Amino acid sequence: MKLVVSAPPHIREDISVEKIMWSAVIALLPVAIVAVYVFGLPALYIVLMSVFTAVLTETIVQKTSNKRITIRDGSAVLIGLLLALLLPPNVPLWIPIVGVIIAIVFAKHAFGGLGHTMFNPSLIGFAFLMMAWPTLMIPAPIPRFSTTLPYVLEYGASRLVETSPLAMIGALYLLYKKYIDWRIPLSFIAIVALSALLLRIDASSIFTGGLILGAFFLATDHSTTPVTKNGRFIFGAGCATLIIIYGHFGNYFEGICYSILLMNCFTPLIDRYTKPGERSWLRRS
Amino acid sequence: MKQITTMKMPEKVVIPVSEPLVDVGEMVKVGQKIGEGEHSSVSGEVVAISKLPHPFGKSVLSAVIKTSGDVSVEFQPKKNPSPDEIKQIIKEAGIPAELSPSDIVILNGTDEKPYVTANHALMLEYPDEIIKGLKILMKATGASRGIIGIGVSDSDAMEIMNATREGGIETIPLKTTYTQGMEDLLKHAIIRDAEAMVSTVGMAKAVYDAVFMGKPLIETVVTVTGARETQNVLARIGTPLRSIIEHCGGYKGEPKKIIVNGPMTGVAQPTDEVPVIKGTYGILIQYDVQMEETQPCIDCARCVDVCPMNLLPNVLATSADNARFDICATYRVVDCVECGACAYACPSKIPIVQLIKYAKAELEGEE
Ligand code: SF4
Ligand code: SF4
Repeated sequence: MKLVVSAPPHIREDISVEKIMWSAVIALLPVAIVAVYVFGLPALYIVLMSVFTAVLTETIVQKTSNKRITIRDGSAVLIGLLLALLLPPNVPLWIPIVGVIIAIVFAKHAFGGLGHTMFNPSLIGFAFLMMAWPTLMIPAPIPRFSTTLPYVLEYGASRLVETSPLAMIGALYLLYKKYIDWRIPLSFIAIVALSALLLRIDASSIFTGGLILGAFFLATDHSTTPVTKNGRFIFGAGCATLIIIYGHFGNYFEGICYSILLMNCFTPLIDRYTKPGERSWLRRS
Repeated sequence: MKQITTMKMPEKVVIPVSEPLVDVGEMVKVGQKIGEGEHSSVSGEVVAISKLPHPFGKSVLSAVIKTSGDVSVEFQPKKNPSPDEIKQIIKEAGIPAELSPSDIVILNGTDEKPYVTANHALMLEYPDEIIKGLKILMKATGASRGIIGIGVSDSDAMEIMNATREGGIETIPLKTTYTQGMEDLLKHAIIRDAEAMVSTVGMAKAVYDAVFMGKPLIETVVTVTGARETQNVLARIGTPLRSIIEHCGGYKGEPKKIIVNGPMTGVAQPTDEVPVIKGTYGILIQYDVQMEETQPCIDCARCVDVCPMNLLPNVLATSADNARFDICATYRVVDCVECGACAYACPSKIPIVQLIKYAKAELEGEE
């Protein structure tokens, strides 16, 4: 009888990095499918090109720097998919390629890879494209169909993710499985909703695919958001406040992206101010 | 169904004794004092006194007693003992309980479900004894309130304890399982300021046996999970794990890991010859042990979400790994109760608790 002697705990939750990442990818597939349904093949090409570029870029980066290839963990795929969803369907195909390369090379691996990123890679890619080719990133005017079903099938959508807020119902599954944090989306959505109520903004122009993507998928990215519990409430609230300001004076969709990116800057600060304090009730011998 | 099965006399017992009062070759009886606060749990001959494996780490001096017959010393209960006498009895009986003046005595009745059910079984089987033992503890510490914390899912135990309890004693349903080291947390969950003493339902039963029966602590209830039959066994202190596992039908296959106490905090054993000691409440046998590869921390904060002490296990683990013990100290590594919840939830399978223990040891060395 040969017994293994190892440290506790002796049971582990059935959870892995792969599971978390691929679940998020799967949760986003429905909205990608609706986008292809609404916009046709251009949307499909954008999604495929983004994901393909992400995987290829990560492989090359890790090969050339002699690191372990980690494309199987799904994180690169997720970055590519998220960026694709932020784009309008009328961009030339090299736009997602450039955006994803920026995201993977500069926002992810230059910072040390998964777990070390400071700014959401997909959003960095998006911001870069917006700055470099602002005119190409403008959604083409799309004729509105009368058959638009609010929240379900938005034919008037200007970006892939905006086609169907409802298709992102998978976020609830991620919450249920605790694959994403609930505190950030809660304070995020609550404050946006409250402000909309106070400012008398129509709900359908607030609860867009962009907001859902922002609150549940972008603002819950792991290493770019606070780790402390209270810090996460603050982070969500901060994003929401910035969105309201940004959306009020500028563009709502861009507001969502830039707010999260801006809050990423504050993450270390928030973590520092919410770090665990001393507990008076604890009797220490 | 009977909750707790009784074992037949084991062939031998191995009892840790710090300063033995008996010699090799001597005959001892059940309940005979063989060391300070240490008693023989069987009758028979002391065949060896030497350093032997102990379930919680290094080898310690232990007496090996080969059993023969079943002769017991005469147990003499004391009628209506005073608080000081109770303290004396508890100490003499070898019950590891610290009695300090308190307003409240809290008994922990939670278990690491589904692997351990010993406390649950004790409450179903010995409700009277537990309540009486608790009363004794209250008398000895001067407490006016007694509180029994019971796992929310154990509604049957809750019912029985509620039907049995007397004035001054309350029951409280608890969602969390409190293992050893989490006494302060349990206290905090139940009351905030008052002075309280924390013990377990098993210890209350032992106190009852000591005071009302005059019997020292020589047996304990152990949940055996992973043998052919899962059982709660009343085992004599010193019984080798192997004998208890045989009592439960033996191994189901080739065991890979044998753990004393629960899966979250228990200690993996190098051999099944180690004995049950005071404070053993579970034996867990695993047949399929996969060594999971550790991946880098992805900063997902799942460990933070589950930490009962509201610490940042990810920060502690990473800092310990980088030998930045100063950061561990700032992030209150001392508060960690080593419950294992963080390592359980970590998708990267990082040995967080090990790293934390390492940091604690390093910091202690510095002082
Ligand atoms: S073992 Fe982990 S979860 Fe438990 S108290 Fe320590 S840091 Fe927190
Ligand atoms: S659960 Fe593991 S991977 Fe996640 S933050 Fe904690 S230590 Fe890092």
